[in-house]
Amino acid sequence: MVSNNNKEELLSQISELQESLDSLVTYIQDLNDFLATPFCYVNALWVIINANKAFFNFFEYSEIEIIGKDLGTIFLDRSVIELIQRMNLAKEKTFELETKVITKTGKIIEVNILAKAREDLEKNIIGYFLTFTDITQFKNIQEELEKEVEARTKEINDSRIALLNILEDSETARLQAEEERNKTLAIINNLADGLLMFNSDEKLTLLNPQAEKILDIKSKDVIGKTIAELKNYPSLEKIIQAVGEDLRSVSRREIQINNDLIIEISVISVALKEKKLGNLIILHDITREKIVERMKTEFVSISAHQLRTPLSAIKWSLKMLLDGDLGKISLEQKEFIEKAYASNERMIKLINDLLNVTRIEEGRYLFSLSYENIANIIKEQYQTFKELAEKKGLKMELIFKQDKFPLVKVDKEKISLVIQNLIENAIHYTQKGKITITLESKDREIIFSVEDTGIGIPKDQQERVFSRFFRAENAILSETEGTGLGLFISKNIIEAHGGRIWFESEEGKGTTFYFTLPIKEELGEFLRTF
Amino acid sequence: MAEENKVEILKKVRETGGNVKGACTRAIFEYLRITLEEKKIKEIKEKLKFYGYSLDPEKISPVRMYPLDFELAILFAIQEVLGWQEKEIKELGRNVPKLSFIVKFFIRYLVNLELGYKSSPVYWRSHFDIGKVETPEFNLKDKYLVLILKNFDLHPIYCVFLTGYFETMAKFILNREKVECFEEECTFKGFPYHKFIIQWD
Repeated sequence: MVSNNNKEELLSQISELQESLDSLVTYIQDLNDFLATPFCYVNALWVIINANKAFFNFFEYSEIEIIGKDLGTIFLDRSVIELIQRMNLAKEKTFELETKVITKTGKIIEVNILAKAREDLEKNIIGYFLTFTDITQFKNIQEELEKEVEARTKEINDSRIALLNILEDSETARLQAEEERNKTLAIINNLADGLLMFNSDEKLTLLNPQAEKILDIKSKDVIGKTIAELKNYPSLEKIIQAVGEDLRSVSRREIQINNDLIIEISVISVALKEKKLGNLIILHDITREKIVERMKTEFVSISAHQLRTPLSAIKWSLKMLLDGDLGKISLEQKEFIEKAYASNERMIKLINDLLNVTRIEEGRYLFSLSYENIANIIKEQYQTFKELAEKKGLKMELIFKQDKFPLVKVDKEKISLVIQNLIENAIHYTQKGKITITLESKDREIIFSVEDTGIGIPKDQQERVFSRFFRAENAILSETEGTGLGLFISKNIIEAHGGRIWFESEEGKGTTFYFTLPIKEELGEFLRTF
Repeated sequence: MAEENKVEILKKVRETGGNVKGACTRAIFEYLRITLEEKKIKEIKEKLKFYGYSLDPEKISPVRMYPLDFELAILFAIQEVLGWQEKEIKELGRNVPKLSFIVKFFIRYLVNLELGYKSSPVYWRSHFDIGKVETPEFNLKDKYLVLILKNFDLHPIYCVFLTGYFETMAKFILNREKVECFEEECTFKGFPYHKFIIQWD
C-alpha cells in the first residue's frame, strides 16, 4: 500500500521527471534545428528515422517526405550502404567516406560522410548516425589542383624529355666537338710551324711537336708554366725577349736561335666573340730560306762586283771616245756612242743598286754616321737636279720652313741617295707642272718632302711601292728606264736612321713622298757614348 | 455527423477516461503546420475551443499524458474545418510517427520487424494508459502480421487514424516501400476488439 503522502511524493517526482524530459526533448530539438551540418539517423534496416533541419534543406525534402524512406533514396550509388555495412563488419565504429548524394530535385552533390554506429546494451548495431559535409567546392579545388598537378607533371615530363633531348644533342655536339678538337689537334701536331698557345693567364697550354723540335724542349716540361718561368729555358729566352713578357703583337720577326736555326716568329691574339682566349706564338723555321737567300745575295753581290769593273772600263773608254781623246768621230758615231754610254750608265746604276740591295739584305749596309746639316745636303741635290727639271719644262721649288735646322746624325752618302732617288722619281714621272721640295723641323723630327704634279701611283698598287723591283704600271708606260730598287733602298736607309718614309698619291694628280729623321742632341749623344 | 453528436461523443470519451502522450498531438499539429495555412490552424483551434478545449495543442508536452478525448476532438475539428474524410485522416496517421520525436526515439531500438512486432504492446502502453495490444500472428512467409487492440473504443475515425499510424511504424522496421494496414475487425462493427492486418510486398 502506498500512502497518500508517498503517492503525492511519487507524483511530484514523476512530474519533475516529465519536466526534465520536456526540457531534454526541447533541448534536443533546438540542437537539431541549430546544427548546420546535415545529419540523420538510420536504423539497422537503413530506414531514415530522424534528421535535422539542415538535412532537410540539404536534400530538399520535407520531413514527412524523407523520414521513413530507405537511406538509398539519397545515394546515387546504393553500394555506399554496403560499404557502410562492411565497415560495420570490420568493427569500425566511426568512419568516413566520400560519395555522391542526390537531392529531391536531382542535384548531385559530392559529400563526405561521417558515420557512427549505435549499439544497444548487448552491443548489437541498432543504427547509424550519419553526417554529410558538402565537399563539392573542395572537390572542385582538388580537381583543379589535380589538373594543375597533372599539367605541371606533364610540363615536368615534357621538360625532362626536352632536357634528355638537349642532353642527347649536347652529347652529340660534345662528340662532334671532340672530333673537331681531335682534327684540330691533328692539324696542329702535323703543322710545319711550331705553335705555342698561352691562355689569358699567360700560361702555356699548348706546344705542338714542331715547336718541341724547334725549341728542343718537351711539352710535358713546360705546359702550365708562365712566361716568367719559361724564361729559364735557353731556347725560349730569345723568343720571350722578342715578344716581351706581355706577349705583344709581333709579326714575322726573325730570330737566330743558334748558328743552325733561324726562325720567324709571329704573335697573334686569339679571341672568341670579343673574349680573349690568349696568345698564339707561331714559329716558322726560315733557316733554309735564309741560306738560299744568302746564297742568292752572295751570287748577286759577286756578279755585281764582277760586272762593275768591266762596266767602268767600258764607261771610261766610251767617255774617251766621246771626248775625242782617241780621234775625231763623226756625228753619227757620236750618237751611237752616246747611246752606248747612257746604256752603260744605266747598267752601272743597276749594278750599284743591286749591290746596295745585297748589302741591305746581308745586314752589312754600314753607315758612316756624322752630324750633318740636312739643309745643305738637300740644297746640293736640288742644284744637281734643277737643270734636269728645267730642261723638261718643270718648275722646281725648294722651301725651307725654318731659317736654321738642327744637325742630324746621318750617313751623308746614303741620305743623299734617298733624296736623289725621290727627286729623280719626281722629275721622271712628271710631264708638266712643278716639283716642290720642302724641309721643316717639327716635334724633334726633320720632315722632308718632295711633291710633284706627275702621273701618281694607282691606288691598287700603292701597297707594293717600297717592294724590290716594283714599278707601277703607269710608271713603266711613262718611263721605260728604272730598276725598281730605288724606293726599296730608300726605305731601308731611312728606317736604318730611325726615321719613317711614306707617300700620298692620287693617280693623274701627283705624288708627295715624305721621310723623317730623328733629331738627336749632339751633346746628349756625345755624353751617352760614355 | 452533427456538431452536437461530436460534443456528446467527446463527453462520453472523457467520462470513460484514458490518456495519451502529448507526442502524438504535437506531431498532428506539426503536420498541419507543414500542410496548411495559419488561418486554417487558427480555425481548428477555434473549433477545439468550441468543443470546450482551451488548451493550445502546440504547447503541450510530448512526454506528458493528456485526455484521449482531446486528441479525438482535434480529429473532429480537422474534419469539421477541412472536410477531411477517412483517406486524409489515414494520411495524417501515416505522417504523425515521422514527426514525433518520441516515436522516433522509441523506434530506433527496433532493429527488425519481429522485434518491433513483439514490442508493440510495450510501445502501446508507453503511449496510452487505456487499451491493450496483442500480437497473435506474425507471418513472415506470407508477409503479414496481425495486431489486436482491445478495450479501446474511442471512435471509428481514430481507427482510421491508427491504420495510417501502424503502416508507417511497420515501414520503419520493414524498410519496404509498399506496406498496407487495414482494420479487419472493429468494435464499432460489432466485433469484440479491433483487428489490424499489416501486410507488405
